[in-house]
Amino acid sequence: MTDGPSQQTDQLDALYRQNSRELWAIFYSQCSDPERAYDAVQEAFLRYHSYSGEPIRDPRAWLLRVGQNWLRDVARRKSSSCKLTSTLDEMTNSERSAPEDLMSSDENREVVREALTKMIEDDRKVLVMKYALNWSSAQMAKVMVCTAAAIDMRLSRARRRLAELLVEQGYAHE
Amino acid sequence: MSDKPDSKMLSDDQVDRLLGAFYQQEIPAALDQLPSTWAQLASAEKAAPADIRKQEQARPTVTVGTTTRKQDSSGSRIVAVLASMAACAALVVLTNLGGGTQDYGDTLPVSGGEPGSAAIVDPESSTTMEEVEGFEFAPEKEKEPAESPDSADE
Repeated sequence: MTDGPSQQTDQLDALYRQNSRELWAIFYSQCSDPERAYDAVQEAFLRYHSYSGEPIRDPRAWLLRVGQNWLRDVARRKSSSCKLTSTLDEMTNSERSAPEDLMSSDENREVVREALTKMIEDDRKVLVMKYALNWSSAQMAKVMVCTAAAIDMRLSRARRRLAELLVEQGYAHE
Repeated sequence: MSDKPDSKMLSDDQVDRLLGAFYQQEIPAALDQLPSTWAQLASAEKAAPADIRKQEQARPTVTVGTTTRKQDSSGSRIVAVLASMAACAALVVLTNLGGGTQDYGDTLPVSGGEPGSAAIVDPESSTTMEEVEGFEFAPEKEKEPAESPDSADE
């Protein structure tokens, strides 16, 4: 930590741009709350910024662990507030945007969210990596420590499971 | 039986498109930018020297306040010391005055001599002033008259 403050900020900037999306995706697959996942990303980077202990060998792993621990702590404190928070977020968001644009899509989003919470975490993880990060099966296989073929199978199974859950929840589609 | 749910079931392609649209909406817009708190931290770091300067400028005021408080406390200590010294001096003066009990001799009706001297106070018993001063009062001896009848019996 002998670098100047501006150099440190640049390093943190680069680290954030490199990892923030992936971290958000992993946190999101853990809590199914976009805002909370984003808070976890911020929390991890803020702690990284103010950290003054032993040198961190793997910043990505460090950030991931800090964010996941933070999410666990929050979940422990507010065991059932994830849904409440998302509902509140939607209420505040809908105040900002035109209601006629958001009403139907928000309802559908809520149904999809609800369905995703009923899936296992690894299924949610491959879905978020595929659709939020646009990762290839090979990239996902590296992170999930398995083959690309296994990822494809998991993806296919996750999509089918989601479709079933959406039907169960009365998801309206054209 | 399973025809109805199957007809409602989304196709793989539909789920694919649905998930694509869903996750694009879920990603917070702020995620691609630097977090606002991080930007605040950076600006706070840049503003730190100015803050220190402000603190340094403000320090004399604080110091003045502290010294005033110190002066106040030291002043009160001085007053207390002076008061105790005055009390000690008054005690010494009173003690000295008390030491000059010769003056009380003026009030004592001494006959036949100078007050405080070995002059005779009572001419009949020839009791001198020195003997009067050396006399010790013993209040317990007041009981003796009560016991005296018994002793008289003996």
